[in-house]
Amino acid sequence: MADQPLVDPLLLSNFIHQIINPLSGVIGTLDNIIDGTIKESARRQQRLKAVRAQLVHWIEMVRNLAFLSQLTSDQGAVGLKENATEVNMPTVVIEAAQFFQERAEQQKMHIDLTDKKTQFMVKGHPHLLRQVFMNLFENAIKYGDAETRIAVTPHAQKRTRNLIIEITSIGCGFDPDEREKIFELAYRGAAAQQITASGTGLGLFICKRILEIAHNATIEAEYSPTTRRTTFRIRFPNHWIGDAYVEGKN
Amino acid sequence: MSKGKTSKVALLVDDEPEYLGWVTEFLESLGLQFHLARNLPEALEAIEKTDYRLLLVDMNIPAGGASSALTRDRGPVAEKYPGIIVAIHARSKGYGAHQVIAYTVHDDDAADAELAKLHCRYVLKARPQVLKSVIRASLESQPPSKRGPT
Repeated sequence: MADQPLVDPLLLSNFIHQIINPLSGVIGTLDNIIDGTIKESARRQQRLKAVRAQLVHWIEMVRNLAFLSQLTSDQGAVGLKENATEVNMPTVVIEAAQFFQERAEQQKMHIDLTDKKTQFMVKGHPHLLRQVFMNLFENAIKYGDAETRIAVTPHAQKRTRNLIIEITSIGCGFDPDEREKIFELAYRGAAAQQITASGTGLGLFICKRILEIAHNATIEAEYSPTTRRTTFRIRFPNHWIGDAYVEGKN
Repeated sequence: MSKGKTSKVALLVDDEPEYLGWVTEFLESLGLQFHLARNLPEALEAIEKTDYRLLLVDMNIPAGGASSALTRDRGPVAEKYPGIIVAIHARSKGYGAHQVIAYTVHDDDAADAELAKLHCRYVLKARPQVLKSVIRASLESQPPSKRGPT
């Protein structure tokens, strides 16, 4: 019997593609600065900033691999449940959005947290939750229409007392029968593959694992072909606002 | 008039143009403007509409809608690398081998073999100096004086 590969070759191939692409942009830009292709000082500064943004993106891509390792091992999952702290959700969302400010501007898109004042708090891991929002923002920009808005809307649901955070964007979306599949490891939606040929298929899988394993939360997705609106809905069972703890009913 | 001889425009075929800023800057430094196509249908349409001095083609682009039949008909390499169809189409429209430069992230013998049949240059991504020198060499070469592959 043939040996099973240790790593899915397609996943690895896609991941390599996604890592080399940003690095290719970085090397090319640095070459242009070194060899004098870019002559104006202001332009050099602008391009260096773009390079920095690409490197940040690259690091976050690689960080997903570390999360993948942690979230798919029993030992890592136990560690995540034990070391939770208080997390201020508006701060996490704003930090995640800042990573994508430049890329969003290139597409004339903007990320908008609709309620910045209410200090929704959950118990969890700020760096993991930041990664959730970063992965969602990256998808929203990559597969979203130019000149549209990515809205992050938190609210406490009266009936369940759950904290619900909706992330909505306008773009290519996914087929109804892919609602669950898009959260599977290495799965890429058919519509997404028409926008970019390669992708890791890691982002949403990691979002789901982070939310379910480390936060007892859930994530679901819906898409309306009529409005081209994609909504990701994250549901935290328990939360608090300031000092007022709110325990969910479910 | 020869294909692209007087054109000052290059066609970039790539589904992730956010990483191509350095290429467009380089082209502009050589006095070229650029058009962008993000997938196979856009690239084929662009080739029909405009004469280009140069075509830079990412092999790994989305086939897109009806055009995916083209890649299926052409076989597994074209299905994996729909950019092959762009290169074939460009060559059939009279672009010279030196005017069509293809690139991929992965070093793939199958893609290399397909492009060799077209006599097109094949460059690996993330090797900007190589790509720059191939672009310069292309611009120094004369486009073909007749329609059809050279």
